[in-house]
Amino acid sequence: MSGSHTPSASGPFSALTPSMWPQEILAKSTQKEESVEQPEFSYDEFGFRVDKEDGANPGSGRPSGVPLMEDPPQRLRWQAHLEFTHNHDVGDLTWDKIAVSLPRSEKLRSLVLAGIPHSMRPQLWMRLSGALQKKRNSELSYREMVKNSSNDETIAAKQIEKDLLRTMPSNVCFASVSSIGVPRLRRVLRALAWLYPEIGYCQGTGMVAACLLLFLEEEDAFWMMCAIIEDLLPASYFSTTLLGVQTDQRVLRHLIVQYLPRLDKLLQEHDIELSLITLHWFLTAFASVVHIKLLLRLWDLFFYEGSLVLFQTTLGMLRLKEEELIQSENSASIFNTLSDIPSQIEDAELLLGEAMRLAGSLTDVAVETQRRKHLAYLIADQGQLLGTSATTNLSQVGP
Amino acid sequence: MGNRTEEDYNFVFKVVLIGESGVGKTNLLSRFTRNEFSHDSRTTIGVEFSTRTVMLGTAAIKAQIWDTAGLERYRAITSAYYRGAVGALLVFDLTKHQTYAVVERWLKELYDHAEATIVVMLVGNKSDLSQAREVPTEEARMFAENNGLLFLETSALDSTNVELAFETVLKEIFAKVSKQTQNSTRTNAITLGGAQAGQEPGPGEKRACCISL
Repeated sequence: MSGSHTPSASGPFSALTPSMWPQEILAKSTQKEESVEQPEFSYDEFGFRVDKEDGANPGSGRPSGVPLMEDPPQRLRWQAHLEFTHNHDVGDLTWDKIAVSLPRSEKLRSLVLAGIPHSMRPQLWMRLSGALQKKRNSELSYREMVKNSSNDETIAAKQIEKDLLRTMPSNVCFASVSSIGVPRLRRVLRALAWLYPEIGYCQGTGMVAACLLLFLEEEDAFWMMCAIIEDLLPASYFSTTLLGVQTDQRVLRHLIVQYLPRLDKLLQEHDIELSLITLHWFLTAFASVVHIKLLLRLWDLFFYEGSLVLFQTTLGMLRLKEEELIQSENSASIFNTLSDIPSQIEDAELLLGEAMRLAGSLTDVAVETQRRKHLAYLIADQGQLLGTSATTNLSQVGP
Repeated sequence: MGNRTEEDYNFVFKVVLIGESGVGKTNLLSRFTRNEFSHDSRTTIGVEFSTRTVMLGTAAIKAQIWDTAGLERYRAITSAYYRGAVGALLVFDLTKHQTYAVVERWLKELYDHAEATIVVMLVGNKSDLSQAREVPTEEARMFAENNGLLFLETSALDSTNVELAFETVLKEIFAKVSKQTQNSTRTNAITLGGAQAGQEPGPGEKRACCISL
């Protein structure tokens, strides 16, 4: 980038992909010594506005005021692993020499679980999720899809416009029409609506895309979205029926019976419909639900292992707050405590530790089996709502 | 209407906010429960929930206000959202006719999933932007009257009528419930769930046991 200002190490905006750095604000802050004026807001390394008296902004990246730091030994372990697994043996290791997808192994999983060094995330997320493979193999380029979708006057396009400034308003990259991330978000969401007409635009995908755009270049963020929609999550997660994500709420409820029987009893006693709270945790893969620093750690694992991680994380969160929930006085306070759980958890180590202790043995096969069953129940239920003609056909798969 | 901070109330009323995306449901909720308004609020995904305890005469009413995304596909999950609701604010943006044109569809949605006795108020929000008005007050009022709905125009931005809107709905519910409890001793588990008069559950104590299904 020409004549650009660079954020200070672990200072405001430092965790963003360089093309997202807000040059205007950075320029002002370098002149600060001369000017008496104080900047309007201060920002964290992710570009979220930090209110002076309050660090509890749900989108904010700095729950405990500690900036995002890379752990040098962890970085070395990653470097060693990448060098070890890549087949060429001469010269310096650069990203273009590293395979499009990394061979899965216990070693790689444990590295992912311990966290990806932030500077390596763009490259590794693309490889772990299969997005890079998609990008390379696609017959249509992102540019063509943007071109094809840029003149669309569809309902989806209208809804996207309505939501562009309502997606991440507290972040400098998405706060106003002139913010650098807004046209990128528009293009990515329009291209997705064009590529997946059965989905169109689903509120929620915007949150995921905006978070990706903070760290990845636009085209890569788009392909990550494709990997999430096609491979990491089951079918119909974002479709007009939301059947996929609804099914997963039923699977979650079943897993609670199995893994957290005391909580199950509590939810039953108080007639609490958990899906009202957890549906959007799943729909956004925790984007806009947890602090962004925690989100990065969850996404490291999510991009490697897929939707299994959403269940494990949710079960871990519920386990961490189980005592508090059981001590709650009434259903309203249980409901509120449940809603607040994600925003109260800061410690990724604690959460992932609990999640794996409790549900580390959960497998994709087990989740898939439950999904098939609950999808059938769900379709049967909806058939009954739709009227008698549907019921007669669907009753065969009903409970 | 008085505010009470302690968890001490006679009734819990669940009230849902419905209406198109972007009409200001979330700001109506935050204005009523926290006296806050945000110019740059985020799209609501899924369901949000806030409470405020208010006094109606000598009765303390805990209002549970539920807020959800207005986008069409979220209606797939609404049966759980409406369950137990005794009041609803059907909100449209009086500067956008399209949000009013679909009110009838929302009403049908509501009656499909909620109790027939639910108290419904039609709310034309954003009255502070009257220079951009697209829905005449009289037209909306007539519609409300013909459909047996309460009606008010509000501004979550400058607070106009926000208190009054919620208060009116809660009073109407209270009147219905009072009549109901006089007529029968049966307590409806969901509509009247919560603590009984004067009961103050201590920390760690077993919660009130009148919720049973």
